[in-house]
Amino acid sequence: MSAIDRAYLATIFTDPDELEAIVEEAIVDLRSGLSDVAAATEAGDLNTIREVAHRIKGVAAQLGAKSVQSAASELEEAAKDDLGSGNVEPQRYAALLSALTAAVAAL
Amino acid sequence: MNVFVIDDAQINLKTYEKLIRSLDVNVLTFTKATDALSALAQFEPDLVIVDYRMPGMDGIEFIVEFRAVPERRETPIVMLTAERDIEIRRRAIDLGAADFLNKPADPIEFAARVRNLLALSDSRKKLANRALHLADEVRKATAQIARREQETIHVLTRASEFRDNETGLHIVRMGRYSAILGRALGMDRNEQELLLLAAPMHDIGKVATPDQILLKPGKLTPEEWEIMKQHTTAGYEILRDSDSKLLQKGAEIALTHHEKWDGTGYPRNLAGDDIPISGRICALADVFDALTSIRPYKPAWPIERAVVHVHQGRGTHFDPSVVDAFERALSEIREVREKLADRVDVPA
Repeated sequence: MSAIDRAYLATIFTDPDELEAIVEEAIVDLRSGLSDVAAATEAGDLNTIREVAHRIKGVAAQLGAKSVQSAASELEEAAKDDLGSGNVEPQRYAALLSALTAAVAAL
Repeated sequence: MNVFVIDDAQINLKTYEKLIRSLDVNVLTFTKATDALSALAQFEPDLVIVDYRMPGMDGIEFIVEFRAVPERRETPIVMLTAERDIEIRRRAIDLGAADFLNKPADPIEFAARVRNLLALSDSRKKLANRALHLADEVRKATAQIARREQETIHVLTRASEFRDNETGLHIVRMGRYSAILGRALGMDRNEQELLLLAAPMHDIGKVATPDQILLKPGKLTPEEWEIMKQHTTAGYEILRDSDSKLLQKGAEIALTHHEKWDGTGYPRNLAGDDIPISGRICALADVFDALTSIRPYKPAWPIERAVVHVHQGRGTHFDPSVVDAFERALSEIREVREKLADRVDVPA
């Protein structure tokens, strides 16, 4: 659980119970984001991958979860690049997605 | 004060809300920019904090929509972004974002920025209200000064008329007739107003006319008549040096209201267009009022008889276009005549 920056969050959410509730909710949000990315990867929907990866990145940043933030960022950048070039490599997305899934699971 | 916060991630909204709550403001959070736009029907934000990248409408598109209403051109907007993209920041600034905040939010920086922008918003509003209030006060004060000026002129004019015309209604009717004729001639409201207020000063020079001439019951000798005529130039001398547009118009009227269209009037024998239009108008108004009022040497004529007399003077005594205007406006003239008639006290 060390991946979340609770010290930072505690400066904002001073009530420990509230802090835990916020963290729980954010993790649920990240997991649902993961399944959205998985579905979009199946469908080859680059726009959705990019949007959802961006949101995951933002949530992770707010949690101080650097590993999730950087994995989501890589996924977002990949989708952005491929949207520009039109080149899609499904295997690359599978690898990036499993890296992101592992990072979320480690929280 | 209302603060709108728009971000597609719940944890961010909760974080910002928490940080702003300590500032004692009403926070409204939205996960979609379109929902925030709909809420504008009910709430007016004093500050908007908006994420840049969101599914659907993004932060830039939101700012464009938000700013489309002129009243919201000045509302401060802070854009939240994790992007270091200079181009996005430049576009946001061009569209009127006041500031940026980086994600994740730094509690101290966030609260400080928001507090400053709310203070800015608040003082801008107070300044606008103050400006409105001051403009209103200036308008009231100006109107009061104008009223005082008119009142002063009226009182002084009455004083000059007091010896031969005690009711003071002659000068009021003169003003009304002249303004009506001005309108019938196509003058704008300001010119009509000027005639209304300046025409009563036409005989102010009579203060210089000796009692034995002014109040003489019988016919004046030629020498007395020459002195009588001097009330025109005397009035002009009294009024001419003022900066007031109103008194200057009064001076013009005092000097020229006894000129005649065919050049046989006094004091300068001006003819036609050489007589200022104010003088041509007041000449008719003055004669008409004298005819329809009671005088020591004659009864008040019925209006019909006075109208015939005015018509007979068309092109000789009076400017033809002023006579035509008089005839067009006759019903209004008649109304003034009836409303402002001198009361004749019938002995019991």
